[in-house]
Amino acid sequence: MYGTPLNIGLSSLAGQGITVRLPSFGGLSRITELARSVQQTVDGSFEGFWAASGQLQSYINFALREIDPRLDRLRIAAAVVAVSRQTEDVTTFTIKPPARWAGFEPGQYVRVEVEIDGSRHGRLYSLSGSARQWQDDRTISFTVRRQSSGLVSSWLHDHCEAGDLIHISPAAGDFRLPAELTGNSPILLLAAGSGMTPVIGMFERLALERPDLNVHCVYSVRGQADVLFAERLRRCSRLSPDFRLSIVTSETDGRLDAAGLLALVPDIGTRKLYMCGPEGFMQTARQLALDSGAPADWISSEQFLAAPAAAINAGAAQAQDASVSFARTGGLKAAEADASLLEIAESAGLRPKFGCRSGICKECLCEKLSGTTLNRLTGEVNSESGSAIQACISVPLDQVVIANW
Amino acid sequence: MDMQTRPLNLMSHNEVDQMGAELDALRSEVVADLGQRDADYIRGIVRRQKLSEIAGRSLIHFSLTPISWAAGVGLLSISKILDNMEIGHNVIHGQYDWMNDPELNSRTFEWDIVCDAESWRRYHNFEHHTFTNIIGKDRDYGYGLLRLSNDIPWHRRNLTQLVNYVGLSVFFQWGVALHELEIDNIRSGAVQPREKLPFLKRFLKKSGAQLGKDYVLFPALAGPFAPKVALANFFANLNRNLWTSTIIFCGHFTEDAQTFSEEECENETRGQWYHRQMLGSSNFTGPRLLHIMSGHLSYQIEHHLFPDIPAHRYPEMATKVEEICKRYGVPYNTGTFAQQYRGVLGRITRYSFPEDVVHTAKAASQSSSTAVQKISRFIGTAASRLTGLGLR
Repeated sequence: MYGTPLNIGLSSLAGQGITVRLPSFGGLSRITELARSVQQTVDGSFEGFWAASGQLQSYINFALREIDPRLDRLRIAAAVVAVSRQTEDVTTFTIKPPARWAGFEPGQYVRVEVEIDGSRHGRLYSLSGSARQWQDDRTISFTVRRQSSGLVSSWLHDHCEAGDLIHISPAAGDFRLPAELTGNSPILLLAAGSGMTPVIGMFERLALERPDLNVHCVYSVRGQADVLFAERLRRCSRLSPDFRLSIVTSETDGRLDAAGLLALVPDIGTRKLYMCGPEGFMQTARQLALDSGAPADWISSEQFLAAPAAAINAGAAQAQDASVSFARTGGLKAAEADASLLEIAESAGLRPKFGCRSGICKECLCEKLSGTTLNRLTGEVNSESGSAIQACISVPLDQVVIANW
Repeated sequence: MDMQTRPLNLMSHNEVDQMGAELDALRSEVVADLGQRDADYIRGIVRRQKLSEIAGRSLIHFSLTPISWAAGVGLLSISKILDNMEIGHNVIHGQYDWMNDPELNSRTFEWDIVCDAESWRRYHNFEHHTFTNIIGKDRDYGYGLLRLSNDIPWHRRNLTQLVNYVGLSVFFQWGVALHELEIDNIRSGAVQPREKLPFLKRFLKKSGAQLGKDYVLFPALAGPFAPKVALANFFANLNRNLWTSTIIFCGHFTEDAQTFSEEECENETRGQWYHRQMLGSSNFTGPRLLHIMSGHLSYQIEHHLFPDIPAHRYPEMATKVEEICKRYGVPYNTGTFAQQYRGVLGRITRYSFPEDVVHTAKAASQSSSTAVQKISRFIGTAASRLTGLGLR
């Protein structure tokens, strides 16, 4: 169903690719070239049309959604195809994006948006599915560990089922292998716990495209039961003697520290390093690699930011280094006692919009990119990224970044 | 009742603070309960608005008889009313910001009237809701065109204010769009015309787009039938103007709604702010459809107490609010739609005339003279005031 010579842009509106295989011999190849460039122009102008946000787009999109929610052009709707439990608190969700979703590189992530009790919440999840799965089934997967106080991870575990519709973003992220796998240096893939989710795709890609390379994959987990993607990992490591897989269980062998890592990978200084895990773990590995002689630009890492801690209660404490950074104008100002974001911005010389200064009129709404704030009127704590908050009554509890100031 | 600024100190500080705490608790209770039900509700309303607009405009476009044309106008009017009231006004208040839906976000929402949403946010969300009914600060009180309380000195031009009212209603969306221009303040010199240039730019942009859409684009799509489409759009806009102005006037201009002075509202506590909102607003009753079509401004009191709570929650909150009012002895101004509107017309008429004329009229109506005597005495007093000749 998904070959590609001629894929009519219009039909991509329906989320299905209707394809026509044209034989390209002789003069006909000129026509196919022309058709392809027309298709690209049409597709390009459609993208341009949908990228602009206007009334016409809004009404057409409304009509499309009425016909089928998957036809939404302003968001990317993906149907959940399968939900499979990996371990007690880790589940993999397999979804089918529309044809216009542009694909991904192993190591990248998507922003997954779900609606929980009427409001939308987004989280970033690494794509853990294989390239083969995308090529053959046109499905992708992401793997989620349940966080005890995590709103979205808990909801996904408890309520997301096959047949549901979730929304995703295009694939993004710089943590990936080079586009062209030239070069012969050995590679070290290092992962801890759920940090394997972006790394497994890399391991598989290397096994597929460069089985001649020397690749060592070191995977640190608590116990054997916590190993994710065991079968896929073993399959890759069986390909050639130079593809090694080392699973370190901290329960039995103790935590993996610098000495242990060096013992496992003595030539760490000669390897390109790709790693994903807790910050401390990666710091240790980075230091070890640098000390062993690896150049800094051979080290790539992906950090999973801590899930918004919804467990902070109303008596939330302000961190010592609480501050407000202004993404648009640049600059940073430390927090002062219970000064509101508005007051802090004003003391930094900015003149944001405001109205009543008492939490009623919402003139001072600003967009919080990240960080935690306390609403001093209601006592609520907000850790959502990308949420609009009232500056006059919000106090920063840690390092807050405001997008539009 | 004679409408003049009344002192607010009819409750003790403690009582006011207690009442404020109870209202705060009610608010927290409802905010905690917001969820799927509210999201589904507003999405349902948006869906109906968009469907009726598509159906209305299509009917107008394809109509071959006056009946189908009129049906199209009706549907388009409904869509414009829903967009203006239940959706637009409420979304722009931030009632649905918690949904994190960019199409229902107060900062970016634009509505289908010539008023620029930015301007509305400034003078409605901020000015009107903060300074509600404070004469001199709440310019919504009369819109600078109507004298509605004795705090404003009478002037001869007030005699024709019913005409002003009709004009304002017919062109209400323009009144709303240009309200931020502060013509009165420019005239008095308090505001420099130059300060209004950024606002004027935005106004021209929005109103230009609106006029283009309703009177150029859609008519043009109908080719030779353009006049029928333009006329239909004109009537739909007119219907919306008349409806919205009627609803809005019932919110603060009913007989018993109170006004306040700047001094007494200085350093207001939250409880006192709640108190002023209650005294200055008025509700009206009716069937559920009326509430939806009024954007739940039929619950003006609840709206003024809780402007950022989804408006469809006001009916449930109203039972609690009314009970709190009763317990604290605060008047709860409500009546049927017809009663309240009659009261509005009555108020506009009454303040067309100066204070003493009205008193004389009242006294005369209460005395035992014959009808002819009363009328002639009234005319006499009115005439003397009008001509300033002071004949007594």
